[in-house]
Order: sequence, then C-alpha cells, then structure tokens
Amino acid sequence: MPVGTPSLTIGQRRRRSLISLTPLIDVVFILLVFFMLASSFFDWRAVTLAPLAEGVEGTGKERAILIELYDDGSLAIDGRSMPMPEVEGQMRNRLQPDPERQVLVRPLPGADLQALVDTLDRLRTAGARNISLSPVEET
Amino acid sequence: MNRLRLERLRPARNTDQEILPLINVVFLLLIFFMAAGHLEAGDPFPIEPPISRQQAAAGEHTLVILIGADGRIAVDGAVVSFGRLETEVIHRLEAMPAAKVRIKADGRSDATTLIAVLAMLREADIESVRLLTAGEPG
Repeated sequence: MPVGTPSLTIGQRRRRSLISLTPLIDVVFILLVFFMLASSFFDWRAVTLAPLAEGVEGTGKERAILIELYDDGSLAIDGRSMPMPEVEGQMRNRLQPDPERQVLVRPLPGADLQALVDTLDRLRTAGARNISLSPVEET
Repeated sequence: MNRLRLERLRPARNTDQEILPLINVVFLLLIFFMAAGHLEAGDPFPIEPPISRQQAAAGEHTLVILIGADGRIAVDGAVVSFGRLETEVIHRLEAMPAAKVRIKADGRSDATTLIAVLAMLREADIESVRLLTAGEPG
C-alpha cells in the first residue's frame, strides 16, 4: 500500500492461541545451541596394539626380525637403516617364506607415535602377522 | 492523487503462525544434532590422534588412558603421574571388571611413553589394549 494512502479497515478480531510459542522457541533454541556445541562428530578408529615382546627374540623356527624406529622417522631392519617407503618391499620379501615369523618393532627414544603407527600399518600391508612391540633394552 | 481505498477484511493472523516455518527448521536441526552427534566428556589436554590406514571401528571404550604430546597422562579425564597410573587403572578396573582399555594418545607423543604404559598394563595383567586413531582424511 503506498505511503499516505488512507485506508479503512473494519475492526479485526484478534485470535489468540491458547499457548504462546515464544517460550517453546526459546527452549528449543537453547537445546539446539547446546547440542551443536557439545556434540562430537569425530569418527574414532582403533588399532589393536601388538603385544609387548617378552624379550625372547629367538623363538620360532627363525630368529625374529628387529625393526628399530629412530627419532627422525627412519628405520633399520636388523641394523640396516633404510627410508620408510622401502621397508614395505623389504619386509614383503623377507616374510614371503614364513608370514608367521615374528617381527619386533622397537621405537627408540624420541620416535613419535605417528611414525610407530605408520610402521605398524606398513608391516601389516607387507603381510606381517606376528608383530610385537619391544621396549628399549636397558643397558 | 489520493484515493480512498477500501481493504477487504483479511482473516486475522496470529503472529505465532508466521514463525512456524522457523520452528520447523530449528526442530529439524535439533533432531539432527541429537541423533547424529554423540556427547562425550572433554579431555583435560588436547589430543591429536595418529592417523592409521586400518579401518577397524573403535567400538565401546570404557576406560581411556590419555597420553598428551608433552607426555602427560590421564585416566578417564583425571591427570595422574606415571607412578600412580597403575594404581589408578587397577582401582578403576576393580569397579568395572569388564571395562575395555583404550589408549588415546597424541600422534606427536614419544612412542616410548606408549611402550612404558603397555608394559605397566601387562604388569597389571591387561593384555588386550587398543589404540584410538583417526581414519585417513579424504
């Protein structure tokens, strides 16, 4: 309606609902804000941790393969250091005759957990089934 | 030119009715957040879990040991020293013997801390321990 246009309206009868919705909306908004802030959508996964080795490395038919994890993220298989990506191929070759051969993973002080989880992932991809974690030997 | 206009009588509208679509949307959002998210207690220090290619579901975790990036340790949200960890874990496991132990550790924490915690858990005859991780992004 243009401004200034006079109008005639016949008196409207206001209808009131029995319960006002405003307090309901207030409560629903508060609940919504609470659930938005408190809810977590993080999708947790879990890795079954390899058991700790008992300290016996010579059990089984063959000696266990020892993998040492250094603080810079590099690895050594039985004392021979090599970069992380090469480990998968090396381990696949070594485990082909006997996938049940024990693999000991020993993180050295300073090695971070992400590197350890990456190593365990690569070993499982390479077919290792008998993986154990090994504490650093106290001298 | 001003002209007299007669408006037809419109049915009375309640102001509450005008916000009904808003209430519908807010209710839908509320139901979504209630159903899709899950409530969990906050950790005493921030944890960035390691990323793993393994895709096993985390399942229920009833006793969580936290290891922070700086080596701090907490059991079910309460920060404890490494010396008191064993006592705390045994104490809580006595209260709920069927509890599954999960370790929530920061990806930047020292792996030897995890090994030390595992060794302690083995001393307490807890063998089955799982490490909580995040899936690969993308």
